[in-house]
Amino acid sequence: MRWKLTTTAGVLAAFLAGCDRPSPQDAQLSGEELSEVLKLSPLPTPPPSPTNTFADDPGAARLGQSLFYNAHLSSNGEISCATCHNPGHGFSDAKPLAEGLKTTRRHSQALWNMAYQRWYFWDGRTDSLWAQSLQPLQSPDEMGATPEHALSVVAGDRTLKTAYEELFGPLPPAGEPLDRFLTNLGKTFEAYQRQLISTNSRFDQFVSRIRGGEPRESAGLSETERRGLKLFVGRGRCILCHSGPNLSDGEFHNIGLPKHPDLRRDSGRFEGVRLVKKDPFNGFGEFSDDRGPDTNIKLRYLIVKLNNMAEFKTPSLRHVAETAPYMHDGRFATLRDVINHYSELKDEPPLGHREETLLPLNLPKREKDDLEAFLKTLTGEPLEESLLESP
Amino acid sequence: MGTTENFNTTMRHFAIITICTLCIACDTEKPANGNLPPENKLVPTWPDTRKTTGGSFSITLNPTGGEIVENKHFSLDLHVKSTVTTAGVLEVKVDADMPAHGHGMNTQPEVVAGKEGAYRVDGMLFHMAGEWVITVEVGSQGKMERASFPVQIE
Repeated sequence: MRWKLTTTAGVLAAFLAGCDRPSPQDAQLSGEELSEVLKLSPLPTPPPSPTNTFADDPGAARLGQSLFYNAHLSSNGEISCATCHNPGHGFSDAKPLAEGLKTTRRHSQALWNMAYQRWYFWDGRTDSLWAQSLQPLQSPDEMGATPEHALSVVAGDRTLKTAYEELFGPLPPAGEPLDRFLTNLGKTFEAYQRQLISTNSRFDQFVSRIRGGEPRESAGLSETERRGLKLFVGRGRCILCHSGPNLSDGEFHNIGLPKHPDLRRDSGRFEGVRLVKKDPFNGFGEFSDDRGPDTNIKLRYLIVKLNNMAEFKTPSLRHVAETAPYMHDGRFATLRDVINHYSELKDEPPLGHREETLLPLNLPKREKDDLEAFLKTLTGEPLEESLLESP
Repeated sequence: MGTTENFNTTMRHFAIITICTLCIACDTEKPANGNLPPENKLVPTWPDTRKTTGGSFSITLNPTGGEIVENKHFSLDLHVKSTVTTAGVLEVKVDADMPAHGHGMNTQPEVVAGKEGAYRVDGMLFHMAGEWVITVEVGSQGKMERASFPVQIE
């Protein structure tokens, strides 16, 4: 009797183990899933930046690059943009919260593909990359530069001064308002950052091969990675927010993160809408280069709603494997922690309500492995070395 | 045995009649062009025309440019036809929601009146794929009627 029970249990265990083992069909994309996959690659040319006529000016990009790596701009002379947006860490920061002159309340965002975003900062409180650049430069928690200090740095460096004046004309004399000068610096920062574009990831190569008619099985992704991709575009519904070739809808969502134990509750986009509307450097302001009658549609019709409470911007997933930690407050140390969050969704957010289509995925370990393996295929080729330091 | 035969014959007739009735009903609901009736379809053939809740207005919607693309701002051409005489100036409001998500657009559309019942709606943005419902409210002197236009964004 005992022998029979043992044998039965053994057969059952072997059967269940067999069930858990994935088959090649598990990695097979349906027609609908394939059409979703094709929407995710390739990245098109970055959209124009209509409020910045210098956005694609090589001279402006070179000056912006010099300034990006220049620690003299900070009030203590030790912090540059690259301190928190480290090119060796996917233009992000390994620390959960950005640390400039003080510790801030949010994580440094990776700068890959910023040219494709509609709003900037986790709460979208600026509507252009140049306007965004002005805030950490002057924030007392980050670089703490006064406009006068920034002017003295540029004026005191012959190379910077020459580069600036070739683009924008003479530096303003002492005592003059410096908003235009700051704006010009911001526009060069944007010109540099528009070059930080992710290219030719293994996922992009996979899509390119499929478009070329290669069978999916031999198009360059492993079976594990293809299962992860299938989950990403299918049952996992990650593409609801991580949509389009930049794997971000550029908008804001409340993903049900519980209160951070060490941080104040953060209203995110709810406050961000108010801030971008009153930002003197927004697309409607006097420093914008976009003066047409149909300008700034995104800002013109923007409205704040209660739903915006505790929403944060959907980050791009390009290069996501190299930009840990994750989330607006850097609370998750690994990609697996992020996947566990979406798998379980066991907490309620302290503000607002979770996006209602977000339901626990209850992923077994094998599917978490699959998803993580797919996310790692989104890392593109390294940028040219010349872009990773002061020119 | 005779009773069983009678029962079988009756059931056969019942089945034939039921199938015929269903076919007729299906044929009745199906419009001549073979598409699903407007009430049920999520991907409308533009322009899409619907009656408001009170039946006083017929609303026609058409995306400017002919289509709605995920995460791209778009405008709508809207036409209101009154089936009754209305007092006062017509008020027209437009909004859109994702019922399954519990949220709507992040924009406030602007409705600009043109001539002879024509309006232009600017500032629309469907930032996610999925089922959206465009709601048009029309009325005057506080008496508003509503028409809903479900749209599936792929």
